[in-house]
Formats: sequence, C-alpha cells, structure tokens
Amino acid sequence: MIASTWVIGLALLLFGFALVMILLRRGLFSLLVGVQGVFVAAALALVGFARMRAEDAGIGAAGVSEAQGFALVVLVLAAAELALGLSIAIASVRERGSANVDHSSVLRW
Amino acid sequence: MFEMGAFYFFAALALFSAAFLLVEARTPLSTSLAFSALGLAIAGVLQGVAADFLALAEWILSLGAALVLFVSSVMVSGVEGERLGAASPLRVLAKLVGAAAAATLVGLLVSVVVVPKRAEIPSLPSPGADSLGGFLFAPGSATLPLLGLLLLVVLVGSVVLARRRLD
Repeated sequence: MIASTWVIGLALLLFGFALVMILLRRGLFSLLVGVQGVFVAAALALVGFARMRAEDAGIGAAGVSEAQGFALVVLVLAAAELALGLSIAIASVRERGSANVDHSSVLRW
Repeated sequence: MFEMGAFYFFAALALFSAAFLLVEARTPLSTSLAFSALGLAIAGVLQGVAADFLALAEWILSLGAALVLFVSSVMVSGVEGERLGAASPLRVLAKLVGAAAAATLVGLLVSVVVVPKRAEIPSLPSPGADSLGGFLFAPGSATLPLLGLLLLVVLVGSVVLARRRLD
C-alpha cells in the first residue's frame, strides 16, 4: 500500500518546483505553467490528506470522495485560470510585442 | 507490488518533468511536452492512490491544457527556431510523452473496467465515480452549477480578452 506521506511529499516537491518557476521565470507562459503546477500540487495534496485522514481517523468513503470532489474543483479552476491567462498573454503580446511580465509594469488606471 | 512500482515510476516522471520545466524548457514545444508529461504523471499517481475518476479527469485536462498552451504559444511566438530532426531531443521527449499517455490510459482503463474493486486495500475507502457523483450531484449542492457558470464566464472572458487590444 502506498503511504499517504509519499503522496503529500510528492505534492510538496511539485509545489516547490512550481513556486520556484513562478519566482524565477519572467515569461508569461512559463508563469502560467508554474501556476498550473501549484494547482495540480494542491489537488494532489487534497487527495493525500484525505487518504491520511482515512488511515488515521477512518473518515470513510464519503469523506474521501468529498476530498476528491474538491480536488476536481481545483483542477477545473486550474483549467479556467489557464484559459484566461493565455488570453491575457495573447492580448499582451499583441499590444506590447513581448510576453515578458517585466514589460507590463504600468497599470492602466 | 506492481502498484508501488507504478507509483514510484510516475512520481519520478512527475518530478523529472517539473525539473525539466523549471530548468530547460524555453520553447513552446518543449514546454508543452514537459507540461503534458507532468499532467500524465500526476494522473498515474492519482490512479495509484485509488482516485480513478480524478485520474481520468487529470488525464483529459492535462492533454487539453498542453494542446491549448502549445497552440497559444505558437500563435504569438512561432516555432521557427525548433527543428525536429532525427536526433532531436524533443523528438525523444515527444515519444516519451506519447508512451506515458498510452501507458496511463491503459492503466486507467484496466483499473476502472477490468478491476473495479480494490480488494487488496480493505482498510482504506476507495470511492468510485458513483460516490464522487453522489457528492457532486447531492441535493442542494451548488458545486457543479457554480463550476459550469464559472467556465461559461471564463469562455466569454477569454474570447473578449483575446480579441481586444489593450490600451
């Protein structure tokens, strides 16, 4: 049986990679991929913690399915974020000719 | 034993893909390939921890997201600089991603269709799609309608944002 701590550890590592990517990269597309990684890590952590709760406290199938439902919501939110982010990236490149976020440093209002 | 091996394989693949995205991926093609490999590896991991429905959702979402990411990035940057020759590392990466996609899909289908019950883990609840559907479609639950509304708003917003020019 796969231990829950392995799942949570993997989620933590993925979150770390995604966070470093968000902090280091300046390209809008790379930033979007990094944010996607954060969402995926969160979904994985939800599943891992639900498994841990099932092992320790015996929350039952309803509790685990509830956690998986929330993880599904997180994945859908990630897809929505990617769609909006790509639209903003396309608009930004059309306007400024670059997807570098450092070039978008002035607010409109 | 097989489940453990599959879990470690997909976990290693996920970490390798994430590291590749962080360090090496600089072009639309390599980024999309590594991103889809990451999503597929996560789907494999989810399948390994008895979250079959979630794994299928992640499989579909990751491939779709990678495709949309690739098309969008090609729209704005082009792929003139990338050459897919016989010895190109990207060609090898594309084959690896394809193999991972096929392996994940076969594993998911086998686990969902051929082995519907996970009798080897009697102590842990492993809810199937029916239990997850019971949560999502519970009476009074607004989760699914809200998600549908959100996706509709995102669809309209994306079209409007992509068409307009920023002032």
